[in-house]
Amino acid sequence: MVLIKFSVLVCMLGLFFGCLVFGPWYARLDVQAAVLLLVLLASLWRTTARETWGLVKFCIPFVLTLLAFGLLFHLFRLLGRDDWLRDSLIKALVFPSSLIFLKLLLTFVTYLDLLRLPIATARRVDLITFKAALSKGGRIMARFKWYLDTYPGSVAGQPRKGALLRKYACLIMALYLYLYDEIETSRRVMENRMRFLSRSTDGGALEDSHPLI
Amino acid sequence: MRILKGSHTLRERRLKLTLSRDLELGERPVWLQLAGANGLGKTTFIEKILIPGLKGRKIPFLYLGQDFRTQVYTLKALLAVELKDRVADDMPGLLTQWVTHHRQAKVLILDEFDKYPAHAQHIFKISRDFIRTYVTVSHAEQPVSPGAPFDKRVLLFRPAAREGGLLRVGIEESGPWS
Repeated sequence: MVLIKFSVLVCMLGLFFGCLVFGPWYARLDVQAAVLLLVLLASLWRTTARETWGLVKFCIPFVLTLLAFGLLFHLFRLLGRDDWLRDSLIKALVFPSSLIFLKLLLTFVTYLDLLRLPIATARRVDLITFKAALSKGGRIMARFKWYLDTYPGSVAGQPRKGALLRKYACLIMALYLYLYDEIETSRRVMENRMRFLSRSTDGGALEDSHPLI
Repeated sequence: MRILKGSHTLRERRLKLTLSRDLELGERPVWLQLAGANGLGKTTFIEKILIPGLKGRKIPFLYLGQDFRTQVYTLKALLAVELKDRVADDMPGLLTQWVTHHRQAKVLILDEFDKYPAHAQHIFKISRDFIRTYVTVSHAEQPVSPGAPFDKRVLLFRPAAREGGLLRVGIEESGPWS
């Protein structure tokens, strides 16, 4: 059953990218706008308004940068092209919809699915650890950002130039350090439980290994 | 800095914090303790009223939050980006680097940081010569103190009443703890 589920998810992903990102509908502005709207509605249905808004907020700087460069290139008719603005608009729609769609598909993958996957235990541990770290990382980002906004450099005495860049560098580094620790911890816990489970199902070893029995 | 008396409604926390008198900070060395039972909005007061007030007036401050084990990653990252030296591996070293790197700070806020008494003591020791106001939240019977010349003042959080789904909490200054 789990293999069917994964196959469906992979097919949906392939269809999405095959048709909308690398395929025939890529250049259709109306289709891309409709897809973004649909994906946003699906995200609202599947997750929460707060989570969906969080994803949109994450995309806004990239989208605005894309549009700004598109406009600039369009005005200067860079490389003789006059479709820069249209091209940027398409990318500004494709980027958030692909990201939200991917995130949406991942919400359908549960820890139980990963446990039931017929793959080597080591790979299963990797996947479970990766999923745990990703979900924790997503939640912790807002708190990290909040803390970084409280440090004196972000309040006064420091030049504004580069402050935003420095803040985001710190944010990425903090997230990396956090995930590194979390992955280490999750992996240790997982491996320990796996060892315990394999011992406890090994003909009466439970009595020897469980401290409460 | 002055926080004006009056009510602050924080719907997402279902709290209405009412300050009975204007709160004046920064004129002379002060150690302000926020006291009261759990859930009465001490941390909320810090994060939603005090810190935005300090930011608005561009008063540099340092804040160590209740979830310090989470915050510590941002401390390490910030020091790695801003310092030329290697970031310390041990906690006292890290705190020393962080505090001394931000000597422009005038206010230091510690939310339940004295759950690490030795670190709290250390922070007071290395920041005393440039911090003018300490704000602390503590549930310890004997909170770690910055010592002289900081005048101890206590801001007491007391539940008053329920008001349309909100818990009204009165905040008033009381005499020093015995």
